[in-house]
Amino acid sequence: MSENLQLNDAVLESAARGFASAAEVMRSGAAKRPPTPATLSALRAELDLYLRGLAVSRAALSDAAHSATLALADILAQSAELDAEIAAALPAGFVLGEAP
Amino acid sequence: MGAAGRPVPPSVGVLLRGTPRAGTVEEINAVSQYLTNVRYDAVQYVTAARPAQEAIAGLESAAVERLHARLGRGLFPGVAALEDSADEAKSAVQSYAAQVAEIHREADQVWASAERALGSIAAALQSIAQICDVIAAPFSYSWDTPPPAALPEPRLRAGAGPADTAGVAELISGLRDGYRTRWLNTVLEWQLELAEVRRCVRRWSELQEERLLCEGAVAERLGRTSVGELITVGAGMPGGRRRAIAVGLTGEIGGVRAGIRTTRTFHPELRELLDSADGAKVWDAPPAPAFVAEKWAGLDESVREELIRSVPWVIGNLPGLLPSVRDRANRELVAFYREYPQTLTPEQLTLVAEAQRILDDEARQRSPKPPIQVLAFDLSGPVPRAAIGYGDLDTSSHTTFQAAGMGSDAHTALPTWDVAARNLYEAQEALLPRFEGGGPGVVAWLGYDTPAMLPNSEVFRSDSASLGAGRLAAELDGMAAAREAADAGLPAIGVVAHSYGTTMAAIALTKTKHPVDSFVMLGSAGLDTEAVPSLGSLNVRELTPGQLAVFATSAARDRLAPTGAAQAERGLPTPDARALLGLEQRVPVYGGVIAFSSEGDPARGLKGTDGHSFVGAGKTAGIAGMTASAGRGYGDNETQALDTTARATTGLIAGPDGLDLVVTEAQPVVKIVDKHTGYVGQWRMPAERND
Repeated sequence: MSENLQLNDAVLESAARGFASAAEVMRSGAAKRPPTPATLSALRAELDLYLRGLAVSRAALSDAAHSATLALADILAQSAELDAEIAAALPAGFVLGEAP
Repeated sequence: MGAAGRPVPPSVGVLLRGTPRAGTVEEINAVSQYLTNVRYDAVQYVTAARPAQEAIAGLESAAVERLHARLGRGLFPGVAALEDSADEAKSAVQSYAAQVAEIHREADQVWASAERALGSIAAALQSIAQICDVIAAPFSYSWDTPPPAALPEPRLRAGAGPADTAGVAELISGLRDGYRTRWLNTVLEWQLELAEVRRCVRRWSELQEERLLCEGAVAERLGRTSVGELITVGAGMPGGRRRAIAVGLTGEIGGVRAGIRTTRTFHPELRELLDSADGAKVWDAPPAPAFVAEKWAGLDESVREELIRSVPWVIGNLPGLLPSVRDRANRELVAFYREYPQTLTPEQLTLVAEAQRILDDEARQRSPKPPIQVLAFDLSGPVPRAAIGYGDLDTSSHTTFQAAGMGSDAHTALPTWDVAARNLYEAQEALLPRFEGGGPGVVAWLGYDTPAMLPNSEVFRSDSASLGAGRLAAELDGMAAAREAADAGLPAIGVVAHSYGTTMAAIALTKTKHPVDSFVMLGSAGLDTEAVPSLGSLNVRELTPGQLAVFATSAARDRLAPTGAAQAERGLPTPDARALLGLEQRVPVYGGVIAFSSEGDPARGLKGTDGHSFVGAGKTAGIAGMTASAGRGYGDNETQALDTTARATTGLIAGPDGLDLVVTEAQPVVKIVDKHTGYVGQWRMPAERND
């Protein structure tokens, strides 16, 4: 655990939205895979494999951004829960000693 | 009229076999556009994710810090790799589109021209047939064999002409005058059109070759991108490509963090082999190879297997073990890195992909020619190192280590040295008698951190050479020790070095215990005169009494190597090496080297070397011979340099006689002090002549 704990819900939420947006870019995005052109050699198959590799890359990066979003959401939820738990664990108010 | 010869083909397609046309430029451009879009998406991705990463950097929490670090290690380098890959692929595809457009355009022209020429030939054929009919000459011409230019002697059909001789002569003369010019013009046109058809057939075939070359270049460029390398690394395993790409780019698969293992160097059983359970030092400070060979021979089979599987980096890189043993361990190592691509730097990934490509090529052959052995594979440092064997190094009769020079770190140089090693292997195989001994074995040795390319000044110092020399010396002695211990017979061991590799290899040969049988220097960048004061310092066998088997050549047009040697004040092994500005006169020449020509020998069909490269590329050599053109490097097929190298390393040169071999005379340098400025320089003294 770091020496200090400083979390900001607004920052976490904004960052999570940023990663969610990044995930969405890669998931849908503008790129639609075109058919591979006919070639003389095995290039067509290699090009097709390569384009599929790029699609896999996009999906992997989308997943990675999505998992960052989930991690941030988790931190947000856990920190709120932790805060609530700490609050619950604290005494409700000042306890006054009985008068002698 | 009776046409007995072959008629004009009914279609151009009969002559223009195959096709250089495939697909459309529009389809290729659509792929290029897709790649542009992928790159654009990558930029958009970063635009969305980067501020998010920067925002959480300001928070203080262990969980956030871990996430931040994870993003820095995986997600951002991953998207950068995707962006670069898409960019490089787009550039390759765009070039390809332009080339295809040009090939298609020319193919259309060739087709149309051949069609037109065939039409003209058909007309000529018909015209000649008509003339033959009129002059009663035999007609037996094929479309591709035009008749002679001279009109055949006209004749008259029986009963068709006048009865008197004078009348006949007059009629024949009339026919001759009437058709001679038409005949001649028709034949000339026929010949020209036939030449055009032949040109079209030749060009059609060339266009197909050019198209295949273009396609090969695109495939190669795709394969050298990060995504391409991950595709190679993941090939052959179920779901391997998808996993390699996902894990290699992001360290995750399906949003789940991929586990990481590291290569181990510790195993209790290593004590039996190294006198230590930790094998971390086997690359830089390996134990004596003879000791290793002896200890390995005494281990139980089960222990050997356990070590190969558990500590492959140690066993794979341990001089003194048989190449087949090291190969097994190193293949385990390559497989390990394929499993964990997220642990690799871009340089390491490149080397793993290249090694895998070589192994995949081997696996595709039913009887690999030559078989491959991964003799060394090390990704422990920032610069990856490797040595790939070609042939069966356990049984080879001749084993040659090829050492690379400046700018030849394993990850960048393996493709070139893969070609070079195969070239030498084939050249040696052609020279060695079949069925005698174990045949050749060649090692592409890329086992050191080579100095960077100029203008970096590392190449002028011997630091890299000294570091590499220790390792090469261990490998050379290791090969001898392993073969000796296995009772497999000692091969003739040779060292072939290029450029700065000669600087390194020469130092290595001052450190070995086992003498090598030959040492060949190609385009030497000079030898360190302190480490190697004379050839007598080199542990190389004698060819004849007093004559070491040390060979060297420097191509006349290679001005780079001698200039580098002069700048570094290193001695040259050949007196005729010419540096820029005559700088070679500042450094000494070693005596006793067998110098040979690399200028080519047309009588034997051998080409000359026209630049410094080991494997040439491009249409022309570089300025001052900085690079060699395609097929004209020192290690290219059918060059005089490769031919003599193959002969020298297979023991087919018994002495300095023949093949234009000359033994060099030592030319030392003298110090010259300018009494006005105090500047101290040095200048070469000409060789002393006894005649």
